[in-house]
Amino acid sequence: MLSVLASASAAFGSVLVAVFLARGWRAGKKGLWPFRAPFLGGGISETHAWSRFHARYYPMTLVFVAFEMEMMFMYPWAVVFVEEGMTAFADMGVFLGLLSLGILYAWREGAFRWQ
Amino acid sequence: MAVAAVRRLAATAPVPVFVARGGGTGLLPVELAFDARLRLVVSPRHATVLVAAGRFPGPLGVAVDRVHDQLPAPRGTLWWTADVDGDRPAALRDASVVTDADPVGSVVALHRDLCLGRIRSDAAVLADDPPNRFEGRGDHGQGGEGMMGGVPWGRPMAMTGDDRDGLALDRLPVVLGPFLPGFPNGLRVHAVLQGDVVQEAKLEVLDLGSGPRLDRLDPAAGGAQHDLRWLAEALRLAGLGALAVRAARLARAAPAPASRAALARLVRRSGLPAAWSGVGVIDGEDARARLVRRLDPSAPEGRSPGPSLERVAEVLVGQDWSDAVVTICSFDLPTDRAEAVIEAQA
Repeated sequence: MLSVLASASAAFGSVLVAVFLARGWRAGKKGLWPFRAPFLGGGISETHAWSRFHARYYPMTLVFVAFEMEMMFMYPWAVVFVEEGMTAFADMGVFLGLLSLGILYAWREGAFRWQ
Repeated sequence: MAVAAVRRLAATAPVPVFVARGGGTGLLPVELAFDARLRLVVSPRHATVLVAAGRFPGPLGVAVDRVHDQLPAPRGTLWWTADVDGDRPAALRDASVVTDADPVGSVVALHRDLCLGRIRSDAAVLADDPPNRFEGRGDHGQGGEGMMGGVPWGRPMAMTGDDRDGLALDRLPVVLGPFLPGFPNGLRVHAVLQGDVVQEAKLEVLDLGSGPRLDRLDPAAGGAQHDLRWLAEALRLAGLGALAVRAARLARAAPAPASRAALARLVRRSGLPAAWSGVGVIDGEDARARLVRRLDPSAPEGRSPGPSLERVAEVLVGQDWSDAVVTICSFDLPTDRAEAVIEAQA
């Protein structure tokens, strides 16, 4: 009995979904060209916007990803930190110090300038 | 039952309104800007009601038709005008017409009727065709031959060109305006963009027609009122909605110097002057300096006419699009808005 009920409701649900999808598909077929033109304040675009453009955040992103990966080393370090004490602290200090030099270098090279 | 309840709820919500300003309206219509029953939105995609304010002769009418068809259904249109016999583009043919000084009541009523299903949503007025035919033509149905040939989805592919950063990437030629937020009435920008950087720009003022005006500035305080309207528009553009409402409220009548000074203080604290610093420099004056000059209640009214459109266009080249809009907005360009002050002072 229960399985019959389950199959019936599944069939009913599928039909309902199919009806809604068909209605959406039909509605999407008409009256849409003027509607889906990009909004340019009453103006028009002469070409479409599938264009290659300068991703100016690109160097910034690379630097971010690189330094985020370095932070992975802090997880194992945090586990042994209590056992090792000051030695681990000094090691990590040297590591982070070197990384900071990298940031200063990227800064000098203009990687953080938005242009 | 449930749907009817949702409809009734929707009918009581603040009305999302997109305002298209035509000729004879001056700056942002303050009557619409501060009313809690309305919510001015910056794109027709978010609006239910299109308020077309003023005159729409020729190309302005074509632009209003385009914007009209970009509102999602259910949508309604209201023509707010002082001249009902003027040019009536297709989008306004079936629109309700308001000639009063205050259209808010009519906007709310129109929205309620739309939500409750008492009136039908506006039909599209433009033909339902792509900009160019492409379906079923060419090797891949892209409307032409080869990699770069054809008009996929009705528009040609972008072509490359040298840019500011020493690269050769795709150029996007666009025609922007006249109904972009922050743009003076009738201003249209023919721009070539690469990413968001303006490579080429040409400014044009569309025909705004002539006849009776909608904005009635107080003759004694026309300049101050105009400055406050300008400020309301600029603050809205900067995303400082609450301050914009405050400026719009002050702009309704001749403002008291004390309340103007209080507004100026708030704007200075908002950080807007710092954000506009160094943007759009013409004759050694940047957008920040122009903003600060407007904030000063003791400054002489009567503005010098803004720079020519050619000079503004020169400054736009090489700017980010956001800076370009700030530059355009920061002037009193010789369109309808400057005329409003001259009329008020005459």
